[in-house]
Amino acid sequence: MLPVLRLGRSSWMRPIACGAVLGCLAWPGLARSMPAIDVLVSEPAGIYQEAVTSMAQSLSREGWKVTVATPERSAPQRADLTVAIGTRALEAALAQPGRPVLSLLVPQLTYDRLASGRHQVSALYLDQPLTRQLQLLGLALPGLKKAGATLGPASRGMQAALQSAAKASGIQVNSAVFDQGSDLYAALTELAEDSQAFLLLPDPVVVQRGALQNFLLHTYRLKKPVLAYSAPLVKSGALLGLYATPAQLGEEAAGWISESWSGDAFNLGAPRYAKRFTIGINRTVARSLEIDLPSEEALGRRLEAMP
Amino acid sequence: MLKQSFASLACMHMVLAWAAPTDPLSEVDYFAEQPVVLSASRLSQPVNRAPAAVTVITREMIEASGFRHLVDVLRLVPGFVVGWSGGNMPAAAYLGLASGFPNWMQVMVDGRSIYNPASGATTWRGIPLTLDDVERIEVVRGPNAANDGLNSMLGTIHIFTRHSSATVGGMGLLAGGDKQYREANLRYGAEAGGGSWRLGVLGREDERHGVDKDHASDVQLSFRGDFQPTLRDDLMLQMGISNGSWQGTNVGSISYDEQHADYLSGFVNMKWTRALGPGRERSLQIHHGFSQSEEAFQLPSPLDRQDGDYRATSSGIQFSYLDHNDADLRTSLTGEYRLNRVRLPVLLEDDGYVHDGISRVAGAVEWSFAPAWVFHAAAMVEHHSDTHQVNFSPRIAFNWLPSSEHAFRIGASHGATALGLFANNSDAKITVGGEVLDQRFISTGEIESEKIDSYELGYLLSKPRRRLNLDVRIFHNRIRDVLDRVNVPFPDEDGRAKTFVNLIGITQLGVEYQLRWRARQNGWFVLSQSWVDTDSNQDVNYPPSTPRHTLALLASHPVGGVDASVGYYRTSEMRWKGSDGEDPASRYNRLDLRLAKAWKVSDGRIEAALVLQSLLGDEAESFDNYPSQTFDRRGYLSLKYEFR
Repeated sequence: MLPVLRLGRSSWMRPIACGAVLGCLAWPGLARSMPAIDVLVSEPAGIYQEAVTSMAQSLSREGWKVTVATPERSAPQRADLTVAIGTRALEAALAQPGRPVLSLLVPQLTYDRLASGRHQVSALYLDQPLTRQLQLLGLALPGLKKAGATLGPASRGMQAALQSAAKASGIQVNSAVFDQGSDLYAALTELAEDSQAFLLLPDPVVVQRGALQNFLLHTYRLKKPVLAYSAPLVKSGALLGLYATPAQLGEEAAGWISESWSGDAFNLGAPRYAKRFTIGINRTVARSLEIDLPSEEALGRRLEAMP
Repeated sequence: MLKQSFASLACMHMVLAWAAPTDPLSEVDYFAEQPVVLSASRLSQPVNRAPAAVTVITREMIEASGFRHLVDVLRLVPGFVVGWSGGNMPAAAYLGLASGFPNWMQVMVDGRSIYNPASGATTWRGIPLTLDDVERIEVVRGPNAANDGLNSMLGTIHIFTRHSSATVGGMGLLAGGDKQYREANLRYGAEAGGGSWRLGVLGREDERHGVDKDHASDVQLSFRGDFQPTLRDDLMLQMGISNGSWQGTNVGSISYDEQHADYLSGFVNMKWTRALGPGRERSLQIHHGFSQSEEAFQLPSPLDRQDGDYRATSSGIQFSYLDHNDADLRTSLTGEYRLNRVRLPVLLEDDGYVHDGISRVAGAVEWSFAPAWVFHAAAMVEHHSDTHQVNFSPRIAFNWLPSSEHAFRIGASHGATALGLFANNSDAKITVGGEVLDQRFISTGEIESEKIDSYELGYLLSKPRRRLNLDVRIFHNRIRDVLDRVNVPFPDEDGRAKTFVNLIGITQLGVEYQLRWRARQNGWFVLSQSWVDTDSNQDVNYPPSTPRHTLALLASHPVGGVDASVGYYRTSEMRWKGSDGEDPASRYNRLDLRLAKAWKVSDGRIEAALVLQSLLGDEAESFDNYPSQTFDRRGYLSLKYEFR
């Protein structure tokens, strides 16, 4: 029996499907014993496509059966594992209990809210660990001892983790909470006196236009460098960014899936942070702040070597 | 189809990224495209890589100084001297060489040049701008015509106002003290429609020298809005109006110290900036400003009434392109057209408007051709329709940065003045029944721009761990074709009239420095000094118009919960041009003290401040028609409430 691969409507799914089919055709006998994986994507394009392409390419090399669908077009399958890529996909996957789910491209806070404590559900977080973020700040800004972080309605859930990361990295973190974008200025001003740099933490309030402008303009006026959590924020004006690309997350997820297949079931284990990361530097901002930074590659090597 | 999917996804991202704050956190918050906030023009250039010496006056310094007038803040810049003629007409000059109407400095507020088109000087008192709205002031010391146009002969003062997102909320300030000083300043700002705005109103009055007819009052209204219609576009809109009444003049004292100015000015300034990519942007700026002054006065009978009313407008459109993406090669290109119009019957040859259409193109390249070297080349071509002259103003500079702590600079530049419309079109006369009794001044129409060739060596030391910065500049200026007033035959009662001719040459050799230090915890100081030797081959009045020595020290430190700051400003004796050798010289040896205490309240902050000025009682401000003025010891109290 040949492996079944359902083709979605989008043409981009076809190469992935063909790859998977060809992989299975190469070892038809092996394919029969391979697990079936449903990939549920929030949207059939963009970052979701990037992640699923990367993951499916890795899995198809091993001859695994991969089906890709969106929440609207998913049909009940007898798959051994559902990989939910994106928040909307995770919500859809959780609505069909009884099979293992791996969450991808979902922020830790959102995952915890949706799936915390659920059996057979795990995640490769979208976020980079806070300790790693602080370590990068320390590597990029020698002499850094104190950093500031503003915590909005969503990110204030990270307060405890922030203090643990501060302890682990040896960098003191001062934090201030705010409820709406207009409070951000006051929070930054309060922290600025005792902070050499700022962490820009994910929060829907922060990425509102006025609030983001406030954050980046005010910290720049104060000559305080900012480490942000995404590539667009580096382009917008943060000095540094630490993040994993969708392709990196997809590839790492594929490795994790392979490792967790015991031959008849998946044992995913606890949610985890991605080992892979990308460092972004806004050289124009660095130059204006008169900060001489090593290359992204050099910083990355030193960061990887840290415990 | 794939493109459509991406487009729809991008749209979704944008919508979601700016959605209500109650939305849960999702991956869209990580990957959605964001507006370029720190665009190329918002990022200041590191001073150690700049082609000229730049002094930055920050908000912190402005607040600590206790000054309540914008022009006084310039005392903090090495080589600057500030004086108030007639109590109400401030003059600020870098390296002296100025009368009560200094016209060798370019002054720009958010990229808009604000000089008075008649004289080329700046009417500081009438700018619709409050100190509380100023973000920072960058003063380029040395000719900067290659970047900022002809008026930047000795330097440029760039005033940047605060982004409206930084003033969301409200502010109210009340201040009062000696010499009839009263001030009320109210401001309110909010976020709206994907942007932010603020509206401010200021009323103030004072008597600077406390003498008869020294009273002045101003009312100002100002607005700034910043909007981002798309992720790549920034729109800034500014408007302001200022209405003042004071003794003194904006057109020059003719013969009568009873002149009184009812001054009105206003402006609109719009700037559209589009980010083209990291470090690259283009912008379009359109502005219009007007100023007018009611200064008509009656001369003793039978002399005809003098119409000293002054009207001026200035409109401009400017296009700029910046490419700062490549760390080793940065370029900029600017084109501008500006139309200046002036009506000033008492001084100009035409009872209607005279005008000057100015077209200019400027370009600059910064090339780091080796890791420790930066080469700068910039040039500007400017044409004036009034004089039909074309001026070329180039500059080259090399920066050598042997380490992150040390930087050396060598540079040469050429600049020129934009002749004010008065210089080229003057026709000042006293008449009886319409017949000329005394032709006091007349232009020949044959004068040229005054020119400068400047050479400089700079050294910058930066010790981040010790929080110390030093900026040293040694310069040599050779200024030529400076206008002088000479008598020419004229068929009137005394048989002569004055006219301008390009006659005078001036040389200056000087050294100046600024030292900044910040304590590890609290406290900082900024110390500036300059020594200048000025010589002139033709005019004995120029060398004494430059103070041989200036000193400014501003230090701040908290003392028992009170922010204490002290300012000390000193100049050696100098004489503003035009003042008689018999008159007292100008000088200051001034000590100011500011004590401020702030309290946090539930929704904001209250600050009370006591400012004592001129504690040594040793500041003489002497101008041609206003000799023997002194700025006496005085104090004021202020109370400020800010909330968000």
